[in-house]
Amino acid sequence: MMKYWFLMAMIGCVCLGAAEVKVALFGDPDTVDLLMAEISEEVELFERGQIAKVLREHQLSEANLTEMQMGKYFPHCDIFVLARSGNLVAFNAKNGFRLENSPYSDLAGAAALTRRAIKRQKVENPILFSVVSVRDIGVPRKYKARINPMVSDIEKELMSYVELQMLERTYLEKVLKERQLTSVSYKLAQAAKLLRMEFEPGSESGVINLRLYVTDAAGKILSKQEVENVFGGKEAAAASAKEIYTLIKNDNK
Amino acid sequence: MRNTMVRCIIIALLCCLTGLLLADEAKFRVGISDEKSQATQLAKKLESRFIIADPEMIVEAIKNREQLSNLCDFYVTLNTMNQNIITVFDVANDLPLVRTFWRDEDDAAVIIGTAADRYRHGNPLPVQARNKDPHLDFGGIVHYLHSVLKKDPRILCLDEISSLIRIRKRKNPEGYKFMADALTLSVSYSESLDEKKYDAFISVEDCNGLAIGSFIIRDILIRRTGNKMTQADRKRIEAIGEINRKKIEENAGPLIEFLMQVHANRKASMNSESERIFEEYNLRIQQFGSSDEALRILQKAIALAPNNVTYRYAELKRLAYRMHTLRPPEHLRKVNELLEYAIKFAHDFPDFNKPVFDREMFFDSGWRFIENEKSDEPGYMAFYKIWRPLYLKELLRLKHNNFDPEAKSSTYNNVNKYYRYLTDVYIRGDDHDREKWLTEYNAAAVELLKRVNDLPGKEALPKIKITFLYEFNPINTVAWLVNQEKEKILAAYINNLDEYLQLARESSVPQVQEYVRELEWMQEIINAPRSFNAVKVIMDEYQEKGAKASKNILTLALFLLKADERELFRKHFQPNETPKIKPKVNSESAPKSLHPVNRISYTFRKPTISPEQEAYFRQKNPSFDIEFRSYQDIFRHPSPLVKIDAVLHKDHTILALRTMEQRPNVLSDTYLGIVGPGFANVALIAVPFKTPSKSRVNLAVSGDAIVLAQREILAVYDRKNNTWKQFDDFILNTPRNLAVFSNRVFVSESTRSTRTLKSMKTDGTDRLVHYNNLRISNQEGFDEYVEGLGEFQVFNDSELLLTGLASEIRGRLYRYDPGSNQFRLFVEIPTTQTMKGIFSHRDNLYMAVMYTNQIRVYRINIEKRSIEMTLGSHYAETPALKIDMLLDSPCLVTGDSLWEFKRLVFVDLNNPGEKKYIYLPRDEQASAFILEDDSVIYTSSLYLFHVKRK
Repeated sequence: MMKYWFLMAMIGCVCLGAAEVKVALFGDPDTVDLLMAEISEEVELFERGQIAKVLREHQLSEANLTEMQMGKYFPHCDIFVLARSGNLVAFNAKNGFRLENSPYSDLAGAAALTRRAIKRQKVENPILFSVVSVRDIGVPRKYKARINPMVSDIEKELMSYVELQMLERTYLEKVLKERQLTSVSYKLAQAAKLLRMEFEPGSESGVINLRLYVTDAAGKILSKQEVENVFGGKEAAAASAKEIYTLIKNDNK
Repeated sequence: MRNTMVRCIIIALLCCLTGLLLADEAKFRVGISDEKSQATQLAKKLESRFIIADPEMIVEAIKNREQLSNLCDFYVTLNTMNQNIITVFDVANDLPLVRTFWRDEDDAAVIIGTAADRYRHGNPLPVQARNKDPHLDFGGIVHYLHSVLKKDPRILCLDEISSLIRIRKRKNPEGYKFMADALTLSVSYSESLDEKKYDAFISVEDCNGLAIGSFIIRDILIRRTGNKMTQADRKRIEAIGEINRKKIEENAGPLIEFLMQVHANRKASMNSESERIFEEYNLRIQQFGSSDEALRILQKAIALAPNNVTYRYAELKRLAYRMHTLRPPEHLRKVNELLEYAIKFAHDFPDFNKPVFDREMFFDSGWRFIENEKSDEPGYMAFYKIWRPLYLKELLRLKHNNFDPEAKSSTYNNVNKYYRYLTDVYIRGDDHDREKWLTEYNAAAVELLKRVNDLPGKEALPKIKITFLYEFNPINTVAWLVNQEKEKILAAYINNLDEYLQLARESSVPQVQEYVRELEWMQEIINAPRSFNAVKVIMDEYQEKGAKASKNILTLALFLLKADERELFRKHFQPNETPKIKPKVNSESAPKSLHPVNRISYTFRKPTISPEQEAYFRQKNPSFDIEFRSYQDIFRHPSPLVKIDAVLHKDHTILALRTMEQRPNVLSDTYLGIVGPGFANVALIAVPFKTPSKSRVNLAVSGDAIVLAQREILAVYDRKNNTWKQFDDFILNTPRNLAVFSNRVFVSESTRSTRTLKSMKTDGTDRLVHYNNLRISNQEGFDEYVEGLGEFQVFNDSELLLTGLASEIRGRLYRYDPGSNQFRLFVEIPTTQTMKGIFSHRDNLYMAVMYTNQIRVYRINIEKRSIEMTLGSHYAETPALKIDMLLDSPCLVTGDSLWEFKRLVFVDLNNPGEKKYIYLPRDEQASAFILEDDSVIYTSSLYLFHVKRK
């Protein structure tokens, strides 16, 4: 009898594992329509009309949706995908971890990114982290404006490592406002691994180095690395992302 | 058989475990500082549990913690200040584990054993208790709480060791980081259901004073003591103390478990992503002040941990920040939003121990709020309607300890509390519906008077301060109504004071009878026809009875009369009042009327001086031979030159100069000026950048390199090749200090919250950031507690030193090591002294510090890494030189002289009582240097002086 129940449970698990991922697509209407057509065979999609109806009911604007609002109004989703102005952001609807954040030039590119996000969501034991601080350690004025775009580039490059899932923190403060309005409190996932970045002048004129620290949630430094001349070339963001991946992965062992 | 075997195995395992534990404990080494017989006897008592370190070696190692830690784990002092006080230190962390009285060696051994238990628990939880109202002592509750806290090895009771910890924390901030976890038990008392007993309400507060939990111990007794204590009083107090001690001991277990739980919960929440985000928020606030960006970061932390009271309170404060600067309608909208937020906050944290509806939160600046009110009166009235009851409720809960204003107890205490409550509400808090306020104020005055009248016994009356009844008196509101020109309300108000007047007539306080007469007088004036004659009849009638018209009476009468009759009234009743005329200020004071120092400073503010002015200058300086020339004259420049900075290099004065511009914000031509001895060997070199008129420029020289730095630009001049190199990406701001040493340029930059120390080779290569306080982890001899970076001092071209300020430590000296390219901590100044500066003279390096009201000068011995006081007593014997003379002032010490250039004082150290004044022009840019022959170079804005003692 015991053996029979065990077999049933195993079959149930396999069935659940095989279930299709539910994806909700938001963003520029034309892109969303085409993207839906492109990937509709592979995943279960929320109907466009259904999304519009929910948004209308709650007087929400698609352009300003927060992740929490999405989670609240589309509770059965697994992944939210926002394709806006040539950039695609996808995140895990259940815990807010970012699955994708990359530019796309055409529909095929957007579809590829969506597929990668879905693949990433299926990774077992992903490495969860968030960027908790970006500090400017005396970067000369003329280079200061390059810090935020570089951080954004590095975050996008990190998306190429499918084991990594980064917590979506861009809209976090909006979650709070929404919580105040609705008086509904959601428990958000907190990252166990935190990434801290320091931009600092290097040894030569025009050289800016990036110091990377991986800390635990208590702030204890687990590992660190320095990327030299981070504004030096197109490959710098990719190189930095690689260093971060190595740091986090090694530390995760 | 099988069971027996299992039991044997278990017993054996337990034995092994106990053995291991005992063996572990036996490894602890104890050092006892006292060599007397007591120490020897104590050592014998401890031998079974600890390894006793050799007392002689302990005595030798006692001042060196590293050496001491090689010898023992604990260090025990037995007798402090000739009292039987035992203190046990954890040597590795320099942490006092216990400090208490001891009776005999057995007692001391037990105390050391408890300390060992505490040591085994790692960093203990620091806890202290205090009475919320320091004037109340309810039967020694705090004392008994400390007693039970001391017994638990998981807790470090701060009662008697707080001062020791404070001192040690300054020396070893890293080791004392755990002190940030300290909890304070703030104890307040309230009457319990049984009127003779009280409840002790223990509010557990974190280091920011925020309540994070509460615990109640019920049914304690209070003790009251009068001035004269009888034997019976003493016995009663002892008995009460004994009952309270037992009560606290009964509750000790649950209380300590509760504290450990509170601590564990807090640590769990601190080890989270949200806490790290909150750190970023704090950093942002320190760095840039309050901003939308800071608020955005804070809200991220709250999104992750919505129930964290610290974050939420920070948000509340941030939302209230600069509220008063807003204008309608934005202001009303924001105030309502804040109120809504505060209501939500109070709902989520009902026991929060700081005010959230406080006046300061909403009305940062009262007058503007009243102005705003006019723009939307209904809107603001609606706001008051919600805010005010919440504010009053909170006021009673927090500030007045849950006082019930409705409770009409006829005791002086109750009347006093009621008066204090009214003061908070009506004297300070006058921002709400004005007409309603008037009614409430009058009712409060009636109620207060009623309670005073009801006080039993005449003995209570002398205690009543007249201010009680003076402050809550309807007369006071008349002025406001007159000011608001609300005649109708005024008339209704004054004629509706029957209840107050009736009570006032019954009062036995003489002053109150004065109020009655004044109010009746007012009533008659307001009900009389509006004519001078009618008012005059009333005024005369009262004055004939001997009453004197108060300011309120006169103001009221003037207000009611028509404009043409006011003057008549004034002439009749206020004949002596004359308009106050401010004396006209003569802005063109003649220089001759000035103090000699100011007169000389005034004279030398112009590029040329007259023979009379020079004669006056020389006459005022009879003890000195002084040569001086303007920079324009020295360098034969067509226009006047102004000094920006100066340094001495060997016997040459190097100057940074700019042309004098009449208009502000004009870029001036900038020069390097070099002047040799006797105003000879001069050179003027054009600098490749121009300088804004008020910009600071720093100058540093070493070998052939002269470095100039101003905001964002640093230029290096090579004297040998006559070439300039300019760098615009090395410094971010005007440097605080600049030095050239060992072919490197060193710069320290300080802004409100950032401090940076960096260097590069003079050719711009090999750049290094030695220190930046924003780094997550810093290196070298600096730690994260550096609060400021001071000045550089290059000594004999072989040493570079830097002064700095560390948290709670008044001064540090860092030394640069060219081998490793790093700065190392060299000397630390004791906390009681403040570093004023370092300077060198004739192969010696000196450091000046302030100690209480004296300047002390130490000679720094680089090789021995020590300091020796060379000057201190001289100044102490010079009564005319007080601390205010010497603050932030350069002082120069020659072999036997001290020159102090802010107050321009010269002291012959062989005869310190005879000070001499040097009358040189004072200005902010002035600097002075001593030459090898003990003469002094003094540079002012426009002139260079060479001063010699006669």
